[in-house]
Amino acid sequence: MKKLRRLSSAINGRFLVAASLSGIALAMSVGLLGTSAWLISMASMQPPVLVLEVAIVAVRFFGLSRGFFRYYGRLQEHGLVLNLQTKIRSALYAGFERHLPAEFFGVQRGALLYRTVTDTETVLDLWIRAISPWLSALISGVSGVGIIYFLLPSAGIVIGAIFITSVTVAPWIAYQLSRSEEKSEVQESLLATLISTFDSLPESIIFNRTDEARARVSALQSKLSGVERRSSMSAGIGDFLFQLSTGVSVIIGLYFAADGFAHHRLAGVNVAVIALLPLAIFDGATGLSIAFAELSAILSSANRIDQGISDLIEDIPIQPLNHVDSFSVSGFIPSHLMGKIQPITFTATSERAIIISAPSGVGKSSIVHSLCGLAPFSGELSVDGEVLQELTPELVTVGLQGDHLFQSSIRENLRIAREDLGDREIMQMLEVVELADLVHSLPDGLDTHIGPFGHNFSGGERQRLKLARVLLRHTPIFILDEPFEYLDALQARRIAKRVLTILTSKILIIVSHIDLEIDGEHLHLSK
Amino acid sequence: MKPFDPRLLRYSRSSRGFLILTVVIAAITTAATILIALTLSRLLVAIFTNHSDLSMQRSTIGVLAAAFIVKALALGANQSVAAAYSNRIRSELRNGVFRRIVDGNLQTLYSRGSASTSLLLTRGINDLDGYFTKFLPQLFIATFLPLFVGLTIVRYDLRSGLIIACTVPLIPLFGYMIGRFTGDATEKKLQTLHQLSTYFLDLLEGVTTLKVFGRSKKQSKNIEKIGERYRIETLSVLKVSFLSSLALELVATLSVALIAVSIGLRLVHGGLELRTGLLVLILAPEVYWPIRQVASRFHDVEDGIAVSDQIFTILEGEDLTIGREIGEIQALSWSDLTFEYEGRATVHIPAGVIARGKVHSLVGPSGSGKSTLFAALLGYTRPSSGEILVTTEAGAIPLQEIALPSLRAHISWLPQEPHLSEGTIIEFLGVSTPSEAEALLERVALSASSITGGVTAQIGSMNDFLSYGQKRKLALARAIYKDADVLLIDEPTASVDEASETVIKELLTSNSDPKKIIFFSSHRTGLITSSENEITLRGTR
Repeated sequence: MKKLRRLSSAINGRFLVAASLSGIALAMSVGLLGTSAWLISMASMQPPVLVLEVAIVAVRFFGLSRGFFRYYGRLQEHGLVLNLQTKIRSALYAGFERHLPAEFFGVQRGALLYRTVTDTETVLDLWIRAISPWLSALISGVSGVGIIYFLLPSAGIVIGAIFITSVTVAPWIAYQLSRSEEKSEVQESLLATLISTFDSLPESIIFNRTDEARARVSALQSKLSGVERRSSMSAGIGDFLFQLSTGVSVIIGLYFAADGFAHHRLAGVNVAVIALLPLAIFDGATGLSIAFAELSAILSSANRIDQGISDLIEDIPIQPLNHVDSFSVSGFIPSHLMGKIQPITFTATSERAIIISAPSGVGKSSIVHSLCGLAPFSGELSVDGEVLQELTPELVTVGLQGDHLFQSSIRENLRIAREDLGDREIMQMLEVVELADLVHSLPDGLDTHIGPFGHNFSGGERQRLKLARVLLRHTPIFILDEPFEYLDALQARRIAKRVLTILTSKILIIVSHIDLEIDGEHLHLSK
Repeated sequence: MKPFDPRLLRYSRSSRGFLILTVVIAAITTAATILIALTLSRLLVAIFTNHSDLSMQRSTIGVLAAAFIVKALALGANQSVAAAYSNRIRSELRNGVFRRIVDGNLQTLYSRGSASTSLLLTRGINDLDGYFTKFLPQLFIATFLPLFVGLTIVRYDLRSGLIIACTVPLIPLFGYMIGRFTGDATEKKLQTLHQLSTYFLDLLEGVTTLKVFGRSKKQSKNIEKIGERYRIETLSVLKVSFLSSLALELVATLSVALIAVSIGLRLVHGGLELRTGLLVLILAPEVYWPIRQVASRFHDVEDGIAVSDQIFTILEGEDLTIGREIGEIQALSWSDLTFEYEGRATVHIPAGVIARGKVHSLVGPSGSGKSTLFAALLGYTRPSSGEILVTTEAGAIPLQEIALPSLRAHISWLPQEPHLSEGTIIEFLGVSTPSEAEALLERVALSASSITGGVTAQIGSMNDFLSYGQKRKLALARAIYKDADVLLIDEPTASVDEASETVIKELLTSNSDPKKIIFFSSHRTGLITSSENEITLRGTR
């Protein structure tokens, strides 16, 4: 877990300080109980009140300061962990972005989501629910044991040994018994199953295919219950052991105190202190077991996060190139279509657009993906005679068929094209794609929220919005994959004409299955 | 936000048993705690005042040990029982929500999207764990323990009892006041959290687009920005809620300190026995801590409570499986319909009828409501005004009175953007043999040999390499294969080449079955002219 450790190294130091504050807060309870016991024992001997004053002040001090230490400790811990959460998320995103999409082929969307969202939250439990409570229990326990040792060394050693044993053994037993590492796998497949079920649900209902999904979800559910039951049983056993050692310590404390008192090694006023302190010492560690019963699940999440994260990438602002004379490909073919279609070769210039057409299923979209570096290919790409590894975003604007509309406003979606876009330029482009009237009619205009997956807009409207976003970019090459889908033929031709005017000085490659009446070189793919 | 929602009892059968067991365990814990205090104080007095040898106190020590064992068992059982029940209750809720959605109430799915809904069912429902395992048992312990412990104290020392009686009500009062004070801030924090996860999901969905636009790297900064905002908002909520814990803690510890000092002073003046003093000292914190715990744990479970609210809203949603059963559909008709979408103009659809034996087409500019009408005919969307009637042998029945499974058994559909479920093509189509599948695909101009792996190929994952056109053809094949009275076809020829278009056109416009209603929308003029009946939507713009 090297990468994760590096991310957390920034907060570890401060987190230890914060957890120590919580530990001191717990230690204050130990102090409170100890001094109160002394105070009462002392008082029963009816000394002058003055003797008690110090103890009275101490009782109040412990009572007051406990709350304050706890307050600062908790606040610090949470702040630091939230900080780490943001770091992990952004590093996960970076890892995802970097390896896109080749390594994610075949990974289900749900699995990906699980790793990025749920694993992150699980991993934070390591700090908040395991490390911090354990550390504070240790601090308060050791300070309580210290007081006992100071009063009666033999009792201190025995009770200390019991405490250390139970604070290590009980969580360890809970951890060993639970074997919860399976949990995250089951949860991941549950999430993935749910997402894929929901994605196709409207259709599955119509075609009566929901039974299988129901069965799969209920099987995963019972598997998950099994894992959870095991970890709750082990947590219960851990808690039981812990409470038991509290009792043992109290009774042992009583014997030691009685013995010490009888042999004049212990002052009478301290008898109650030694017998009662174990109650406070062990109190700090209740509830540790459940955190440790989950530990293996937490660690397996941590491992997966560690695989997924990547260092943050420096963002180099894109400087769009203004003009290139020609773009050519030769012997070009997406790797996975090798042997299935003929490699393609063409040279495109601003005077000569390339129109790629083919029956559906031949691989038009794959060609577009390969051209813009989303899928591996063989063959050669060159711009102005210079051979390139891939077309970068400063050279090319690509309108993909599966382009995503984000859940934000119309304006924000279009600004993905260029950050400095003004409303006037946006409205002009919306005019081109015949959306200006719609936007004018919306009460919130450009601020209208697009909704999940553009749900508030129809297929044709979404298509035109995506087209506007593509056209707002300034690059020398444009590759458009089925840009006029979901539009009626008349509207498609109208918009196509305008698009050609806007892109006159650009190199244009259009993939389309309908005849758009565009001049240029027609490339017909076939098997 | 209520600490206990009675709807839980209604939607989760296990919750009743859980609550009863929790009460029993709380009672046992209370009894053991009181017994420990009684025996422990007696033993201490025996040692300190009477210089008695512990070997004389065997039976008392035996009782003490037994009380500790009982308490340990009770707390261990509490942990296991709470967790086991939490597990059961969460399973019940998850199953309930899943069933409600899978049964066809897609409201949540449409408004949240499938990723966010799935997260609600997994992570969201898991957030309830803390509520069941920590908060709810604590709530019951907090009503029992303080009462009985307080009564025990009153029995031995009235004055300490009075201090407790005066200070204990301060804790829930403080808790209530602070809860009201933080309510809004918590709401805001939860909203930001929702925004953060929505944003993150959205980014993952759209990362390809961002990458080709050269904007994907930039988003790391945005994640940090929103994360930072969430941190600040959360911390400001936490500040108040921890501050409230602090206040409650102060009330509690100061009360204990007050009692301790009062006992001490009365001991000095000989007004109290040492045994009583010790007993009260051991018991006093037990009065306060459960109440304090409830108050301070409330912030841990706020997220869970917010989730339960969303879950109950889904569970309270309409059960669409209830309604009348229908026979063969003869016609579908609708009055003027309106549909409202958030933040945009209302969609109007003029009255219309589609009847069997005919082919109907639906035309109109994009955004005029073609897909919306289909969704309404399927019962997925409800018009905000107007009515849809389904004519069967039994006459015309309003659509919302029909049990949707019965309606849907009679309808087949090609959605505008089909999603392929995972499995082989044969499974997807619902046919039984490869040759049947191949013949079916032939009818929609899809040659099985053009698909890698043929009809036994696994589809539905990210790497099935099917083109958009192939996916639509597969979905169309599935739609025509279903033996249904009504065939709703949204954009049959989108993403389809011209040769295939002719085949599909021929397939759809020649309705030879007098019992079938064919209704399709299309933006291709060629397809439209060949239909017998045309329904035109103008849109509002």
